[in-house]
Amino acid sequence: MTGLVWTALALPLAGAAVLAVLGTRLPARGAGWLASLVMLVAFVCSAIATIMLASRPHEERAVVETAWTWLTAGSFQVGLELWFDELTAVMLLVVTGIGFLIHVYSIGYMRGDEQERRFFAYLNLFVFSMLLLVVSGDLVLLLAGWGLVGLSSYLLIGFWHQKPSAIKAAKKAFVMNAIGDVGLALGILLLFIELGTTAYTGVFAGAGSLDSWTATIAALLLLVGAVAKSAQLPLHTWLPDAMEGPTPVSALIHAATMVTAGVYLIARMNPLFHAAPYALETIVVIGVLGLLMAGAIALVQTDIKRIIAFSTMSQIAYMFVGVGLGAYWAGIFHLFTHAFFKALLFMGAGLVIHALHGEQDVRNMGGLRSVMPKTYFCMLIGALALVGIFPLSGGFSKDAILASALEVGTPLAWVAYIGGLAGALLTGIYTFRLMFLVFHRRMSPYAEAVAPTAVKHHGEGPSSMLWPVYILTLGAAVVGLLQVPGLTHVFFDWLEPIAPAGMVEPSAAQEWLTTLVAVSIGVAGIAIAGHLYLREFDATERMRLGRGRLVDHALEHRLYWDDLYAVAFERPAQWLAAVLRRDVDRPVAGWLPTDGLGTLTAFLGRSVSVIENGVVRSYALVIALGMAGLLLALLVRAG
Amino acid sequence: MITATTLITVPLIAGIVILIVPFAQRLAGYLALLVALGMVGAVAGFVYRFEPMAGYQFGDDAEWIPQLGIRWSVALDGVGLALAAVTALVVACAIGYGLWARRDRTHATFGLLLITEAFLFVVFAARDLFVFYVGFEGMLIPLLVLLAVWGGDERRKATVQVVAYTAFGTLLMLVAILWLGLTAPDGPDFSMAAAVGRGNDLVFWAFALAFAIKSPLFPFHGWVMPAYRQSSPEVAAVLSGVASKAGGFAFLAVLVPLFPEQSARYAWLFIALGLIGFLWGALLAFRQPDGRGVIAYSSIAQMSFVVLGIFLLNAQGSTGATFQMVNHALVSAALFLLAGWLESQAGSGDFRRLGGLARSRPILATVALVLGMAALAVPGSSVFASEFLILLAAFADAWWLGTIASLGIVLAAMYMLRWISAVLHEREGDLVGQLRPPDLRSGALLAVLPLALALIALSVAPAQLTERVDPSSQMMVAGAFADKEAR
Repeated sequence: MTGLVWTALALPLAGAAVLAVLGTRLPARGAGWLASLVMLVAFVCSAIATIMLASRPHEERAVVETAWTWLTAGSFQVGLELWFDELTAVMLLVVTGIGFLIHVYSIGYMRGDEQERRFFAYLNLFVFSMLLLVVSGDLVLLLAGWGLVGLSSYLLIGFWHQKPSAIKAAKKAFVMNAIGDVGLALGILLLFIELGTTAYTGVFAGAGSLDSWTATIAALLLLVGAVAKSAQLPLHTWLPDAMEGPTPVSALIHAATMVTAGVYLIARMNPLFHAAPYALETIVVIGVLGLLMAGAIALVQTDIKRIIAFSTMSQIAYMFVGVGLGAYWAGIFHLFTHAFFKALLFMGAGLVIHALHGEQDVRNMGGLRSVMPKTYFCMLIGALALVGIFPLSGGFSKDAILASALEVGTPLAWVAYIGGLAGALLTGIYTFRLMFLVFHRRMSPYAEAVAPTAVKHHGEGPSSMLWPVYILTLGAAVVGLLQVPGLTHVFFDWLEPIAPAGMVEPSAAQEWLTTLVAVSIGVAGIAIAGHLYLREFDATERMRLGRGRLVDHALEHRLYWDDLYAVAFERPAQWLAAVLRRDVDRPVAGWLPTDGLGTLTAFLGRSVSVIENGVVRSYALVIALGMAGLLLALLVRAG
Repeated sequence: MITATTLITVPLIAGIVILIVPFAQRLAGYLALLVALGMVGAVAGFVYRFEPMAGYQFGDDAEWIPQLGIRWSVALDGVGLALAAVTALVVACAIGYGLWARRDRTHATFGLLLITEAFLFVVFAARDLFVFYVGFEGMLIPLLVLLAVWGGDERRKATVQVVAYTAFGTLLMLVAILWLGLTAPDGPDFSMAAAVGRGNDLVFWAFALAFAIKSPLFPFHGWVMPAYRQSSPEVAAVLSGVASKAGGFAFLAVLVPLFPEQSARYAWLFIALGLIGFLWGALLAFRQPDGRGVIAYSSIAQMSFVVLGIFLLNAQGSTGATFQMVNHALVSAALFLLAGWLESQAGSGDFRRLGGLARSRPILATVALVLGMAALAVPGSSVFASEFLILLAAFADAWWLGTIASLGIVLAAMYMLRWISAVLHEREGDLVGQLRPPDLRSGALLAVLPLALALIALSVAPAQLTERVDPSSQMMVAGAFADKEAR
């Protein structure tokens, strides 16, 4: 069983290495198929391993295995340790399964790009990093995966590196994630100093014995990492810019897998967070604020991918609320369903962008329903699942999170409940604003000029792009049925053992009640979107929702977070660096007045010019003879 | 039997022979490369045979100048061996690069590089203070000649600066060594063992100054910029990659064990300077206009961080510092070779005139990315492993120390990303457009590749290094650590 997991981990790395080394010796088309094949095998390995895990008795389902010692110094020791349990299995299946589909999709999407091989090498590297993150059994190794997904994300966001905006976005993502990495690293250091180990086994066993301040600080430091990686407040500003990368990258990394790593980390470290209730409350607060803010910003965006990106941020905020409330299973369940419908929406958007020759502005779309019926249908399912319309997947998982807030019942939980429902309204509006602007209303002149001919010649996309979308559509429709309140209980039962201190579980009544309310609100949101955006539309009209200038301006500028960071950190740091370089470094480091050493300079000047006059041999000979003398003395004396 | 003495004498004799025997130019180069590769093999044999728990090994001890109590006493422990190993690799790659670049006056170039290597081995293996002095001072002479003769336009000024700074430091150290050796209780004795704990503060500072200048530790880095900018790529690689390690090594293997009391008492000062230098260098690297500037200031930052790690005086700090020196040797040597190669192909290292080099140069892009990511310590890399150990030591000493130090890691990400994209990405610079520099191939690639592969190997299993280093490095700081605890 563990052999299969090791194989799943090693294969993508091998794939990336082969693609990198063979490079142009490989046929361009072959690269995509090779990378996809690797992913398929990794998925099959993961699936078999999961089945084997399921066939074990409950108490034997956390398997730990060390391959080799990775790093030691004094009492500090880190092993290359594998941790395979129910949560790992869920993550493995999502990463390899969705990852496989997106690899296949990319074969079509990247066709004709001269850098195809490099793209698939990066993609495989990403999957390896992500798998390392989820199968690691030691926090330091998790941090390694954490950093490597950041690296592959950087490479893929900046994949089209001749575009300055792409490189800027890639660097921004990397630096913000480096801040997160440092937070996570400091948390790990604190845990090691307190517990003497960074292995999960030791951390889980010792978490309960930490005093509450230590546990809280450690948990908050881990949270810094989680917030950065999952693009949550206040380290979220890199995610919208990350849409500069190719669309499959957005689907895989910035929707289905990497950005949910923060949720995984919190769920994984639940024994520690259990000992740190303040940290859990902080997570809920971050989640509620984030889901509302991102939902509101999504209302006014005009780039199709950025709308979906803010939606992702908002949905991950829901997951944060879930794990923050102690309903770890619900957070992971939403992670699971979200991977399907959000990857689907991104890939659908990719089909649209493809048909429009790279156009991403929704103002230049419209009326595509008749031209791209398959895409429309699939994206409609995805959009309904995102809004949480019964019985599609997103509803079950989101309502499970909200119903858990009912079950918890504290004032903060009520805030989360109401905030979450308000977020459902926003979700309804922005999702169907996108759908209506893209697929309904009258075609924009640009779409009319481009789309029909493109679809007539190439169809809605090559089958390598369409089939993954179909499969995800099916998934987005049905995976929610794993956990229907009062009927099926698969997801909760499967994940229950990962939280030794227990998990919050709402009653079936609470869930159905929440579903009733949330679906009504979602439908209301769709109706509002219809009212606002289904009318005839002039492409130059601005996409405003409200009437207040201030609100619109603020939302269009994403609530000024970027400007805040520029003023608070970026500019001061650049100024400081410039001043140090210009005025300070020389006087500080140049304390020895070498310019004034006239005689020395003159003397050296002379000897240097002697060398330059071509008698280098003789000068070197002097040194050589000196050394030979020394050596001789050495040998004589030593002999 | 191959011992540390063999390690020293072979490159020394080979260097002298290549320097004076008038071989054909190419032949001299290939001979030098052969010897350098032989040294890599010899050191690899040492690494294989090394017993981590057995202390100093492969040693020789014989009378040298008995009237003065000076003995030819050399041996390697884990720390010395790690640095000797990386020295052998870096020198071999530097010679390989010089060979590819068709340096003129082959005999002198390669002969002097081999002689430098021999003196570096002397430093890493010395068990006698006089022997140590010979290595510490001697290694600079060939490097200075290389800088003065083959350097850039302002080489003369650069040479004067290096000589002035380092001579200033080592002169005081020589006096201190003589004092220590001649005042030994049982007649003159220069062995390091006899000097433990005997020095007073003045002697301590004389040593510390020499090491701080060589490392370079902030604010003793005045000589670095001109030297790293003006020397040829292979000399810059040796200077920043391994010659600077003599300073860091000497802090750990000479200063701290010989002066445990003073080391513990003044540790705070070195920690403070290390911390300042780490951030200072990183900030300055962020504003440099060219590749060499970035690498030079990042070297100052990294070596300051190493000194910080050493003076935390615990296992993670000292092992982490040793590991960090090995990593930095590989990274900075490779980066200097790469930057030098770029300058030679594109005509300048100025960021404003480069850019867009990744296009249709996949090998260059891959190698530069791997090195850049290693330099910014991406989690999972060997540099990450060593920095993590030092951070751990700092955090254990005082939480705020570790927290402030971690800032430098974010800064490192910023300046290395700037370097990567300024060279590889965005729009093509005018030089790139005009000169169409080729992809990184043949000799230049072969010179850089081993360094990159060594970094990757160390990323996969860093414990292979730390397990060998850890017992030795702990031993080195043990005395000072006890003193610190007692305080």
